Amino acid sequence: MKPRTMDLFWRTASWLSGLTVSASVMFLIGFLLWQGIHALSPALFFGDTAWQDALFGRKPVFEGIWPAVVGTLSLVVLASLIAVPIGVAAGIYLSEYATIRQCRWIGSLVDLLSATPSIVMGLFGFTLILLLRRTMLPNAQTGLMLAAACIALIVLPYLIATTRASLQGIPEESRLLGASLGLTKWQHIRHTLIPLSAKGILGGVVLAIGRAAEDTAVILMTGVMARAGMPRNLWDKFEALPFQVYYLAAEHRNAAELAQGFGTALVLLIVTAALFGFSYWIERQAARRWDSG
Amino acid sequence: MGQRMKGDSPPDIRIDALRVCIGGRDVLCGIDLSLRKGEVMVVVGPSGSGKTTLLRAVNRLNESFPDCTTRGSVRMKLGDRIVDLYQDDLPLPEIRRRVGMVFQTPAILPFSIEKNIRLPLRVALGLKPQEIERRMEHALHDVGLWDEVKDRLNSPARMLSGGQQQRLCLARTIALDPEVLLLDEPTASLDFRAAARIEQWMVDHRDRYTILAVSHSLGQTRRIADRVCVLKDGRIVETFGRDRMADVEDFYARMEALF
Repeated sequence: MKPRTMDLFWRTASWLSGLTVSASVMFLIGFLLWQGIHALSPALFFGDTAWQDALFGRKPVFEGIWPAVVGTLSLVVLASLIAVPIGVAAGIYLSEYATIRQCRWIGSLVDLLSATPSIVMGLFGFTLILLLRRTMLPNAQTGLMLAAACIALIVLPYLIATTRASLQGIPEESRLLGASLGLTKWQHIRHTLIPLSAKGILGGVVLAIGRAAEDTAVILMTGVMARAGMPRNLWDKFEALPFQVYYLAAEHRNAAELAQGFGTALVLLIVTAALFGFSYWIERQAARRWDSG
Repeated sequence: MGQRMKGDSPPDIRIDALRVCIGGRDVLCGIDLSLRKGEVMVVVGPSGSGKTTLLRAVNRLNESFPDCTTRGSVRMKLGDRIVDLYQDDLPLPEIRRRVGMVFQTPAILPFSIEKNIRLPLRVALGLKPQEIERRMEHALHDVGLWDEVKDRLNSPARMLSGGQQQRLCLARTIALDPEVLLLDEPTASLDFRAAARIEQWMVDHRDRYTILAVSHSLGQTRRIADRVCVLKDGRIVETFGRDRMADVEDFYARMEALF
């Protein structure tokens, strides 16, 4: 084929691919909005309970998705608290400390972890509880903390891979900068490499948050329950938005309940977008502080 | 820029039988070189001849690469004692503070102008705020950047022009009070006016630091070098002084032949 034709072909193909992605996302959001927007109301969130009572936990919410919103947010925050420090530290280890041999081994294990289906991870959590019950903790049961730990395992590979990649993407001279200024290895990592790769690392955190918010299979086995209400502590059963969507869609008895399902899906989308927004805000604050600090 | 007659005094840096092997390949082999304070030594040579590796052997920066081995000795006068960098147990961070380095492209940190200089002083040297302030101001004056940035020390360093960024990097290095400066093509990414300022700085400060620089430009080499060391395939093929650079035609012809 002539170079000009090739050029035209690839330009069109790239353009069409971009268009397909944008159109799919727009269609998805449009469809959700169309189906779910009229279900969005205080009643969807709080049912018959007054919103002030629900927000301050004075009265339980029976018919609304408010407990699921709280459950999902708690799950994401807890899973991030577990996974972000470990994932980022493991990424730093692989990029800065590990020998080529260690990198190969640990890298393969991380790949294996990322290939583990989430239902298997859920099963692992469930079995862990059974084991604990038979051994040390006869009262152990599935709940928020177990689900968060399993979700943390699921999102770890994202964090490790993005941290490692963004550290290794730093140009050679910048990588040598800390050492050339007489910084020790850790000072160099802390004061030059992490700031230089912060954007990439936060990208991984955003990915991990998104994944933690949407997972259903893991929590299905590890403590989610329809109509569990607000979790009273870290070991309690909980509700979650993706499970609520599944439950409403699968068990709906009338059109209104199905509409509620779409409304819940829309809320999940909004919650995830808000979490992304929050992460970008943190990134901007950090960048601003570094810039002028 | 008259030629110095320093041949009789003992060298401030003496490199003997230096051999650097990276990834199983000899990058430098049998390097013997002496440097004196007061003379700018410029290393020239084709790409891949080992110039950067030679510089990085003088502050042991090559060891940041896991597959690098270095043999031979690099002895230098630090304060009033002579140390062998590869034998004596001087900690690496200290070696690198006393042998400062500036890279080819301005390696600024994603911080403010001020913090770029303050950070190593605080973290590596653990200095008190007043001393940091004093050194920062002094270093910025020294590279002629103070008047340009004194009113915006808090703005991001990336907002500076390339030439200003490179002078900031130079200021950051000299604020650590090194005795030796390794300048790895410090003007390669700059326009001629910005490059001229850095060249002039090197000439003006050759009595204060022992300077080892790499240059790709033969014109620049003629302007700043007191001595030239020509590297090819990891070996020194010739070293000569200013007297051999006086005749432009002869100098270029010689370089043509050596490359």
